[in-house]
Amino acid sequence: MEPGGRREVFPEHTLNKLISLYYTPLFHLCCMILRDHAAAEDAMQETFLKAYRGLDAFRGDASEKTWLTSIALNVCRDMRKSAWFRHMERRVTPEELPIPAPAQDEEALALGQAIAKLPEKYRTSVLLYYYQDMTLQECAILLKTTPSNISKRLARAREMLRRQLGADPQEVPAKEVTLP
Amino acid sequence: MMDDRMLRDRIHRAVEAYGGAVPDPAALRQIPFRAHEKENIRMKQKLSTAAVLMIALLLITVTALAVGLTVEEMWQQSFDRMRTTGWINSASDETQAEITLEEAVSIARRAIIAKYGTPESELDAMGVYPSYFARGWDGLTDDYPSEWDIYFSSRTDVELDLDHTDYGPTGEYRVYINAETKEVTYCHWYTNDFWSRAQRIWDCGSYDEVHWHYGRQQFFALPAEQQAYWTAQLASSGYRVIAEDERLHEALLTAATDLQFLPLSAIADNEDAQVRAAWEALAERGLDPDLLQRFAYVATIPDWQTGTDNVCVHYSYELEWDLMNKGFLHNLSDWLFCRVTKLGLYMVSFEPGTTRVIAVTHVPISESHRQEPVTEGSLLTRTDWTADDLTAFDEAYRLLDRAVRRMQAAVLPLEEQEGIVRSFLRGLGDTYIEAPEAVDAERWFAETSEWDTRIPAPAMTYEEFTDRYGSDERFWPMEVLCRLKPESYRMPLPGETTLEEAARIALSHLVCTGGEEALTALGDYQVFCRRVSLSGDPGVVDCRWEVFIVADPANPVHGYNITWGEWEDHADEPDVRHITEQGNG
Repeated sequence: MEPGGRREVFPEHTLNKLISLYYTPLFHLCCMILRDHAAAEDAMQETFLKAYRGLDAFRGDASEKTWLTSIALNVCRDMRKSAWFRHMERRVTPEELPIPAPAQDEEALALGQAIAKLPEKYRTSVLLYYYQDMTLQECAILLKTTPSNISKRLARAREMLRRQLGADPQEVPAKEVTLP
Repeated sequence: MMDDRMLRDRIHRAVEAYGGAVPDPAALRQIPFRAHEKENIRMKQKLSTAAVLMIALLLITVTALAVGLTVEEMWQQSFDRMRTTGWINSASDETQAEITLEEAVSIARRAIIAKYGTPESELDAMGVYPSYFARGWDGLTDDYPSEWDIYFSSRTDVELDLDHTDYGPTGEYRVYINAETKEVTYCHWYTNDFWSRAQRIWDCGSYDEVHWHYGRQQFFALPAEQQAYWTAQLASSGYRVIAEDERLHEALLTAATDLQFLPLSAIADNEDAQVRAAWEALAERGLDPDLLQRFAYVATIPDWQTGTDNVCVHYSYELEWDLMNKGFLHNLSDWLFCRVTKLGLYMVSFEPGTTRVIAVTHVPISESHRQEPVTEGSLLTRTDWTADDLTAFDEAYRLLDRAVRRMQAAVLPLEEQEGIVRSFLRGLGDTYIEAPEAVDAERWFAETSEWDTRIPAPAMTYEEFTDRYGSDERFWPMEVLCRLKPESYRMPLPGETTLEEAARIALSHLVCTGGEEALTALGDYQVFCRRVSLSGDPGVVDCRWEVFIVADPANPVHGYNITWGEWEDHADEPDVRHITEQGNG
């Protein structure tokens, strides 16, 4: 937006900039939340379409990243609400879900799979805080809870990851995240 | 122990490894093009396991009905089966405070009957397909309450999926109920033919839902009497009856691209009573024919497959800036004025064969215009124009045209012209123009008044010639060619071969080489002569004659091109070729 609230003349430029900056991290976020590569691709389309339509309404109160992440989360939520998605997920375990081509870094892939198996709210908290590099406050706003609750979720998530990965508990720290 | 930063790095790598290859986001860059074409991108259709389950359950339902089970028993069987298949969350997820399935179904039925006036018997005949979702089921937030999703359907032959479009003869219902508060959070009737049952909904007081459908494309597919009926119903209840819905907007925009727009002059002679009635209807909205004469293209569409007769009026102000192309601002105007606001598209709908206006629909094209891709360097004029702005626009245009001609006379550098034009537009109230300071037009004209003496008499432009004579120069009158390109063409001087003589030479040579039948095969042929000067000296005879003999200059596929050179002391043998063997010179 231009100063004074005037409508930006070239919204597609802004859109292209947003796509360049945030497509990859948001795609990965959606991939993790939906645990479905194709669905994540759909989510991206919907997210950026909504973002394009909402450019006028975006007043810069939050950062672009937070705003887009918020849209992406809502899109994922809506998709999970859709008939085919929620029923599908009840029938298929995370292990059975299609995983994209194996990565070179097997250790990283193992951790990725472990994160994908976390219950939703822990998984999302981990993704927003550790992957999207958001603050506890930002995570709390997006997930409609308190920063301390996010902190607790992160602690529990780390504990669950430690159990899943087993071998080296030192790899995933147990320390609580310090509240701001 | 890893610190927070290291863990972040590790999780970054893990997430990227899990996510795998990131698809090319290039398709997303088409979003601006698609945004106004479709309200939402539909998610990919997928065959859901739920659909498969649904079909299985439907078969159970049919079997149950066949063996004479009551509807209550049938529900319970369906529910029990779903519980065992895992489709419904375990009953242990339900708490003491939450409503049971039976209560949920009862609430759902009451909600449907209250909202849609559905007879009990109609619901009784339907199968009930419940789902239960425990608190926090969405997994993202803690505040999503547990929910019952109750679906009513009589269909047995198609997938029970929200994305389908065939809902059977009686439609289907879906109700979401907060399992803790009993609040109905969603209640919808999916129908194929909404309007045939609109009366039932209207009687229940669901005016908003009827209004929501009014103005949709489907509305215009109704019989005219129904359109008139619902328009009157909604209008008498205080609802807006001129549709400005986005979907209709899209439909009309699509139609607009397919319309055969006729010049207003052609319509002016049209005795069509509907056109006159349309103008009267538009005049009531401030769009009188005088204004249309200056700005509008009008099209008649006798039958647009809507069950009505329609007359569309399409406004395009882009035409009005064409003069900018005629001077040296050609390059400037290409990008400066390429996006001028349009007032929009008006459609007047009539009862078939009558002049009774059912609806006047206005699509403000500027709304979609804003969503169109705007290339860098292009500028927008005001986007909030109404019919009242037409006079102001006219005056602004004249002012700008005078300014351009003055600058032309002064031979200002292009950059300077651009700056002045921008400043002018801004001074005229164009808020989207990027310009330093708005020009004080009165002062600017006073200071540059002496430039007027340098303004040359307007010459006829190439565009005007093509407008008048067509784009094929071969068939332009010789007088026109001489005016347009005096360095190439000149009329014969006294004593030289005349145009008529050249035509006779060509015709006789054609008959000599091709026989009489060559001419008779052309039917009612026309002859076009042009004399191309081969010397810059006007006193020299040297020239090339080009004679075109064609059946139809608008479609020059049948005919001949006869050429020869003429010199001071002799003339060449004419060369005869079929017209398609030659370029257009």
